[in-house]
Amino acid sequence: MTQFGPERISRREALLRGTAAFAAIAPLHGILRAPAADHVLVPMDDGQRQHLKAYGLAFRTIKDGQSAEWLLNYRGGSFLLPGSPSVRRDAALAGVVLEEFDAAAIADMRREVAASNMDAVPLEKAPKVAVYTPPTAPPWDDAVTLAMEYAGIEYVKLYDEEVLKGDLAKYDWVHLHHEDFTGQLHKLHLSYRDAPWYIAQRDMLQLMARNLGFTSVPALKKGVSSKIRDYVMNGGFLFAMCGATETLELANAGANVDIAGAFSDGTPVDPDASAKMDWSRAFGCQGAQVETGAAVSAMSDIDGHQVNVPARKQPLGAFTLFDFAAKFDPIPAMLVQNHRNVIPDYYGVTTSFLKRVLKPGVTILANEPGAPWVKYIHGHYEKGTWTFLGGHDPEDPQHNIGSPPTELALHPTSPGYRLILNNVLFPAAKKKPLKT
Amino acid sequence: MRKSSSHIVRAARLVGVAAMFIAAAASAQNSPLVRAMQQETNGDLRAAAAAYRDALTGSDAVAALLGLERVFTQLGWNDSLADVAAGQVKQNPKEPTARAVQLRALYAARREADARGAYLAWVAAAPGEIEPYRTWSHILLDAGRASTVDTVISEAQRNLGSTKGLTTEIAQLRAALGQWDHASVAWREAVTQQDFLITAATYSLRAAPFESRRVVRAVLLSPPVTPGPRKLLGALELGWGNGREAWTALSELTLDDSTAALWQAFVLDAERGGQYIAARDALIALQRWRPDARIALRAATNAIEGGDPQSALLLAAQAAEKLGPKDGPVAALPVKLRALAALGRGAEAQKAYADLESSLGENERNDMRRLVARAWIKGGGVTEARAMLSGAATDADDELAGWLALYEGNLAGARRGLKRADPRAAEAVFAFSFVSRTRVENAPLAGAAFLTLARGDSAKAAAAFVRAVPEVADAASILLLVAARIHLAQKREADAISLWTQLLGSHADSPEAAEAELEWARLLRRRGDTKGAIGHLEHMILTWPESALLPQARHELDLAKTSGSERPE
Repeated sequence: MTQFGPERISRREALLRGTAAFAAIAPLHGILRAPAADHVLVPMDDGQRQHLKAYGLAFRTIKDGQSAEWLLNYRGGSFLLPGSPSVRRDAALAGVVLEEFDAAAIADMRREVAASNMDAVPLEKAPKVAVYTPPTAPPWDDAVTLAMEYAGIEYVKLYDEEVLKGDLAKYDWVHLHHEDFTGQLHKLHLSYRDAPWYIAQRDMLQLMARNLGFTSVPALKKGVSSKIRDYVMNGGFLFAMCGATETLELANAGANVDIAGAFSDGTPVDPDASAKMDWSRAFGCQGAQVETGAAVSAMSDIDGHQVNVPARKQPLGAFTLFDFAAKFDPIPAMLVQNHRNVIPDYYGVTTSFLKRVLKPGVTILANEPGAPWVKYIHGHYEKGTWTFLGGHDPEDPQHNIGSPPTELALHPTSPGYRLILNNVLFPAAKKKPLKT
Repeated sequence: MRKSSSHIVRAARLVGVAAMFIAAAASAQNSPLVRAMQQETNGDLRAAAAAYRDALTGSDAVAALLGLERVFTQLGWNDSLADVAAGQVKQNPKEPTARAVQLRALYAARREADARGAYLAWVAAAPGEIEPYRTWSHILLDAGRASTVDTVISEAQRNLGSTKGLTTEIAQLRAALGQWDHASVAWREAVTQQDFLITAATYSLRAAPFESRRVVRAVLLSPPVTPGPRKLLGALELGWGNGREAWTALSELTLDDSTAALWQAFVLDAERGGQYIAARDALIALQRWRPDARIALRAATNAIEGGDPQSALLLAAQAAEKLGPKDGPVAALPVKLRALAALGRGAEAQKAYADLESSLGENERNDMRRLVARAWIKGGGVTEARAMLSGAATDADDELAGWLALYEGNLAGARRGLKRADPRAAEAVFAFSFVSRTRVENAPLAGAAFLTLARGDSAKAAAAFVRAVPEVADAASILLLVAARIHLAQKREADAISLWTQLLGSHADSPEAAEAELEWARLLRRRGDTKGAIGHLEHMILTWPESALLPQARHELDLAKTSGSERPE
């Protein structure tokens, strides 16, 4: 007969109790097999089988008001969680590997952390997360939404109307994905003008612009971009991927310049647009050249890979995450926690960021050695922070329009998706005074 | 570097053979090279290294350098090897072998910057040649440095104006980077030109993850239809366990003698891999091309093995027709009876046998009678099966005897006989798992339930299994689970739930409990009761944390949580 936990009752007995009142499902008798330690370690190295779900476990733990620590650079960026029944139950349901961590193990861990390039960062409060996404379903997936749903992290969807109303202020962390903030729908009309999904999306945006009092979609998106900029200036955490990164920079720097083609706002691009850009309004880029060619499927030269311009398209390589001093540079260190340092690259409408267009203070989190571009960047802007990750879907290097969504159950340990989830969790970290 | 080490070990083995030939040819002169090879074969690596060094100054310098590479690598003296190779390069800057050895030695010695410098020097010394790029790419690919290979290929493109000659390296690179569409395109080009690369291409593309295989297929299936890409896709699909897709890829090739040979080879591979239906389809196509009764009968046999006895009957009939009225029916009879046995059509089997009994020899009659008996047993015709087996030699652990014992409730006899049952047959697996679980020797009610099921009366069978529960307390959970499944298949959901409740309540320690709860959750999801399904899935995961069904339960829990009332297939 199998014995369980402190009560020492049989599984059958447990089940009988559970069956009698199903709502109170025989809660933990199946998982409390041995006397449990006060804490559990969620290893994030190769000992973990569900890296992505582990982030959800940590998120729900702090959301539940329990304590948690993020052990930077310790076994792939592990989490130390209380060994409470709710944590164990949650981990069992998600398949997240836990290791019992008693006082001696914790003491050993703390000694190792103190002596190495590691740190233990308390996670205080689950951030309120919002994802900026259109109400209609476009024929591509959003890696962040996929990651959060797979990990079980709660989030709210919002779009232009909510942003313009000032709703961003309600959230600690906002994610932007495939949006084109220049209002040109990534110039997809060049290939998809007759596709029903394209027509529906274009019509929806035009209607939304009119209803919200804007003369065109580019004008609407500039208004939204400005609100997003305000959000960061006031202390928000912004994370953007793919085309949202580059176009947000262009929309903000080009707030007073016509950078959109005639097909989108009825007037041609200002031929001197590049010279008129005000890059002080952008987060991390400067001096980029706006792509004024109506038939060229690119927005600017910020992106190093130019996936949709055959003559310019660059092959994919692999990018390397930088090491940061966990005790002195905790935020970049959090953003690169991983069990792999080299990750195969993947395309997006914006895949990478040319080094020569980055502002001097930008922190490079990952680059491709020898290449003129970088993959993953971060910086402060007034009171807030922004992080840009190039590419569309870390587990779908090409991700053509119309491809089926990535099934994350097939990639539960994805290093690329871990980068996204690092971003979701880092606003939860308690700020510690920097050591001098 | 593991690959290159193993390559060297393999090469060292070959050296032994080569040494004997060379030794015979040069026995009179006992050259340093021959001496070195003999010492290497004898395992005296230090002496061999010294002798190879001596041989470097003679006319066998290239062979000596390769020998030195082998022994130095085994001795771990890569730094020394790099110096020796550098000396050889200096003496003969145009010699590609010395250049290649130098690159490998420097890389193995972890002197990557020097290795890159040596590569660039080689490029400069051999303008217009592809070899430096190819060698350096190979070294980097072996080391898993895919992104650097990309740079090398770009350099070749820039310097040579083309990457012709690097097709396989490009293909391997794309696969290493997970760029399966580009890898497929590159391999398609490679195998179109050089058929012998199919094995390498299969090895490279086989690693494509499930969701990327669609793009691999699309590339390899795109027109024009040529043998290389189709053979490649056929091999990939067989390796992925998709026999029918493999055959689809090959079936569109223009049929001629070489295609027929290819299809025959495919049949062998498919049979070996247990892809019987694909083998059947290929045999049918071959048979249509050049009608042959033997091929039709082999196709029929594959159909039976693949679980499609109905098509086996048709194929057997075609074979009989081709062979003519004199020989055809007798030649086709074994396959026909096997098919009828698989279908449980005892009366037809009996008639087919009776029609030809007089044409059969004694041994054949025995075998055919057993097949007829099997057909009766499958359909629950116990009396008729016994009649067919009467007089035939059967022993206690005969499978047919096992089935008859089971139907009588003689579980001890069934346990002995069913050990030999076909593990691919679902009914055999169920029966054997039941008799193996219980220690009860006689259980007439359970036997009757199995017999009722064999006779196709599902409704009565479900009730009969439940009635048999008190008789076999130690295997009750199996009977309850199967009874619930029968109810579910007959849309009697309330009855199924009642049995699951009984199983979870009274047999929670049994392996079937987790299975029952998972099936219960699935039913609730199908009904749109997501909340109820989530409750059962969570309960199952927490209560049976070591169940083999856990990954499936977790996946379904995710689906239930994210897709709301979306119903499972």
